[in-house]
Order: sequence, then C-alpha cells, then structure tokens
Amino acid sequence: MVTRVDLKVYDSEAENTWCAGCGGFAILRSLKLALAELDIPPHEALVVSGIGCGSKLPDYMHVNGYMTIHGRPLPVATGAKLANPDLHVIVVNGDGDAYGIGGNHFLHSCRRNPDITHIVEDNQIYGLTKGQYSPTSDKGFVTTTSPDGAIERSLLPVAVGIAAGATFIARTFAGDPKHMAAVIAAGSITAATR
Amino acid sequence: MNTYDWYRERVYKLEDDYDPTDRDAARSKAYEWEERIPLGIIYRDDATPTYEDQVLPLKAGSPLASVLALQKDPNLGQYETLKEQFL
Repeated sequence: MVTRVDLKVYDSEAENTWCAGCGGFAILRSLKLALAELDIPPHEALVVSGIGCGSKLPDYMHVNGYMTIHGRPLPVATGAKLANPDLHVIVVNGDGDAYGIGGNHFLHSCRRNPDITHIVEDNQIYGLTKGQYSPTSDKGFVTTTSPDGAIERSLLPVAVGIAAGATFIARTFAGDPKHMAAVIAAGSITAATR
Repeated sequence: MNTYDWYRERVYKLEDDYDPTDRDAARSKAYEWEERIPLGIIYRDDATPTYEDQVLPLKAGSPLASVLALQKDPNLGQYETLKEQFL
C-alpha cells in the first residue's frame, strides 16, 4: 500500500493502556494506514467510539475524537455527519458496545445507511471489565459470567447486517494488518464515492 | 480461547471469483463461522443512496457552514435584540 500522508501525523501522545499483544494495536495501525491511503488529513476525520477497551482508540489517534456513552457512537456519528457532511466519520467500538448495548443503533444505522465507516473490534468478550461473555461469544464459551459455558447461541453480525440493509459488509483479522488496512480503505472509499 | 491461533486455523480469504454484489451468495457466507471464517468484502450494494443524499435540507449545503456564516453575519445583533423582545 502506497501512502501519501505521513503516518506520524495521526500519532497521539496519550499513553496506550491496551495489553501486550492486543488486536487493538493492529486495528489502530490499519486505520492510520487506510486514512493515509485515502489522503485524509487529521482535521478532516472524526473517530467516534463508545465504552470498552476498543473504544479507547480515539485517544490513541491525532484526529477529531468523541468517546460517547456505552453503545451510542452510531447515532452521535450520524449527527456529526449530518451537521458536517464533508467530515470523514468513522465509528470504532467493540462487539459488546456494537451488538449488545448498542444493538438497536446497529440495526437502524444499517437500514438508515449514513455515509460513515463502522469498524467493530470483535474479540467475542467484554475485555475491559475482565472477561464476561458478549453477544458474539460462541455457545459453550467459558468466561467469568459463564463458568459452565455460555448458554446462548452467538450473534452472526454479518447475517444481521445484510438483513438490516447495510450496504458494505466486510470481515478482516487483526493478525493480518495489511488486509485490514485494505478492507477499511475499501469500505471508506465505497461510502465516500457513492 | 479465541486467540490469534484460533482464528488463524479457521480464516480464509474469499476467492477472486466471489461476487459480493450477489446477495444470496453473501447470505450464505454470512452463516460461515467456527469451522471456516471468510475474510474480505462479503457484501456490497452500491445502488442504495446514503441517508445524507436523501435528507432534503442538506441539498442547501452543510448545516455547520451555515451556522458559522450566521455567526459572522452583521445582522446577528438584530437577531439577539429580537430574541430578547420575543422570548
């Protein structure tokens, strides 16, 4: 991937408190790579998050950032996009914030189709609060709140997204940051040029 | 534990001939999980307009830009006077 903007422009001075080996680092770097690839300077980007480990991300990037309350970044991001349609709006939150607490907003944002990029950092667990099972934890998954294994079946977000009317759905993997940057850029280009 | 290794054993990249604009194909991929997990663009629909494209007031321009313009408007003082009179 050829980058036009120097990646360092997106670096923030905030101390990173993610655990060593966290997938968040790859997601953070991939998002910076995608913004650079799309030639989006920091002042033209807004990253909106909710609550959780993944939602700490806006702190770690030198762009406009907004950490909302738990589960609510999508409506806030939609409002920001409506107020200033020229802004590149990106929502970053975890599986709990996106599909649990904010599940309602996920459904309606899919069918509403605002021109924003929603990145769900899905690690299938509530990490910040030390490991309770989340909407995407597989059935039988042993966690602090499911010592005998989760009873519920896990949500299939891609299927829900299609059914709810989302217009761009992709999956990538923190173990492959190059693929992740390309997918984030592709999703953002689609929205920006439609 | 859903570790990097857990995913690495299961993920695969969608084939080059996979067509993400085919909704039935996408629905089928959407249910792949646990044994094999597809990576890449699973679904795209480029025909549906965005929400902003359909919000009529936005056709007049950015609301933020009009608020900023209003703040610079010399008649703003008049607006304040009217507001005091009527509210």
